[in-house]
Amino acid sequence: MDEREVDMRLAAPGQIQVREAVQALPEETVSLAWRSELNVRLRQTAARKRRLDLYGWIWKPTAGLAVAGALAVALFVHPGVGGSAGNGALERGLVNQYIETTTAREIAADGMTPNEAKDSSDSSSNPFDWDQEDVGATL
Amino acid sequence: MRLLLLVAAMIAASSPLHSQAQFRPRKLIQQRRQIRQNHPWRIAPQLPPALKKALGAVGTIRYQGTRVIETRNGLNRQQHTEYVLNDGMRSRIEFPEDSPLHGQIIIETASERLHYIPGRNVIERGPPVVDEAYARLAQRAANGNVVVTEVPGGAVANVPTELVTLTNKQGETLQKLWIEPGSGMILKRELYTRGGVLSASFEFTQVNLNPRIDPTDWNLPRGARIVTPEIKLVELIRRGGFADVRLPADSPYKLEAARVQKIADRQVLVQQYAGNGRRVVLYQTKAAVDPGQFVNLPNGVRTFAWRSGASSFVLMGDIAENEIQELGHRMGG
Repeated sequence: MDEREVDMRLAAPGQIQVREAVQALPEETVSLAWRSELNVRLRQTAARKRRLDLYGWIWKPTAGLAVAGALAVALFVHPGVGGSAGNGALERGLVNQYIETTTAREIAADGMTPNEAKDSSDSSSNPFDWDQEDVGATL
Repeated sequence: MRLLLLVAAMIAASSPLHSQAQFRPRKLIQQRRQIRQNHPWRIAPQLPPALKKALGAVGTIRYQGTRVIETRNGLNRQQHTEYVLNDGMRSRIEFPEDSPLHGQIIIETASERLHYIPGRNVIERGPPVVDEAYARLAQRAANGNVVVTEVPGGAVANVPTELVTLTNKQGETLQKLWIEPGSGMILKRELYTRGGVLSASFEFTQVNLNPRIDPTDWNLPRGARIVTPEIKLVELIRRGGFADVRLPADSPYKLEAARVQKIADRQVLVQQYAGNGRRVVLYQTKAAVDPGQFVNLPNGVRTFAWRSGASSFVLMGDIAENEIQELGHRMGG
């Protein structure tokens, strides 16, 4: 195909119609507004991150301590256990009670111990109002 | 008819009831010997004669006397006086008119202890306790680490005595006994703490070693309601909201008493058991108990502690380590 034949084909009515349609299209200029918005957002995010990094040395150890504390509470403190004197007073009291009652029984033999005397001396302090059904027998 | 009567008479003559009546004195001697042999203690051969006599006389001795008992609660010492009548394994205890305990009566036999409380018209019935005192004495005297000596002890209740002293290897006095050597009756006894402080004592101020005893001396007022330690325990558990945990029924330790006591400002359910001359106490409280605090306990005392639900339990006794652990495990520890 030579140059003259190309010119002839370009001058064909179909080609002219397509050329006119393309030339009739409106011309648009490229907008960079979206890029500007993106830049603004990136700057804001970077600033927030810098602030977080700045205070990180405070909140990170604090959060770690909080987690460790919660773990310790969960492992070593049992809810509903009831208060303990924590100074060994209760444990010492139990041992003293054991020694005193054992000594008292050993010395009293078939006689009355202080605990028995305390339990029985005051009839008005009777802790129980026994029903016949409770006790079941009489002598 | 005559033949029938003859057969009936022959059957009656050969019945066990008849033979029992016929050989009663021998049976009685046998019973007494058996009681002596059934004591849960052994009389060590190296003991001084007065102490051997005292340990051997338990279960056979007869006396009537007035006894003053003194015990120590912290630094507070308290005394009370008892009138005692004893015939072998049976004893009756009453209290003087000026005593707040006046009117109460304790009857102890080989099988039970009855404590009559007139104000409530109640008889508290539990296991006998007298053996424990002598079993502990025999155990301690037979201990190789204890030195036992005997010297003339002077008169107690106008009766001449021998003084038996038990000391440890450091020379600290553990206890003293003033014994009437003829009968083996212990007229005075003193127990000391590890630091040598008098912790408890009794002394007869009057004694009759040949009393007249009437069969009615073993009677108690009729119509009183019987309360056992088990009944009391059930009621304490119900009213105090405690867990129903107690020593296994097949253990050698029988429930002697149950009470709720304030210890270190905590409400504690105390179950006292005794058997074989040993004492085991089960404590139950809602407060937390630190087993690590049970250190420097007196010789022979062991503990086993655990927590179940909302309650803490401590088992304490002068028994072997494996035994206390086994008991604790069986109760859920």
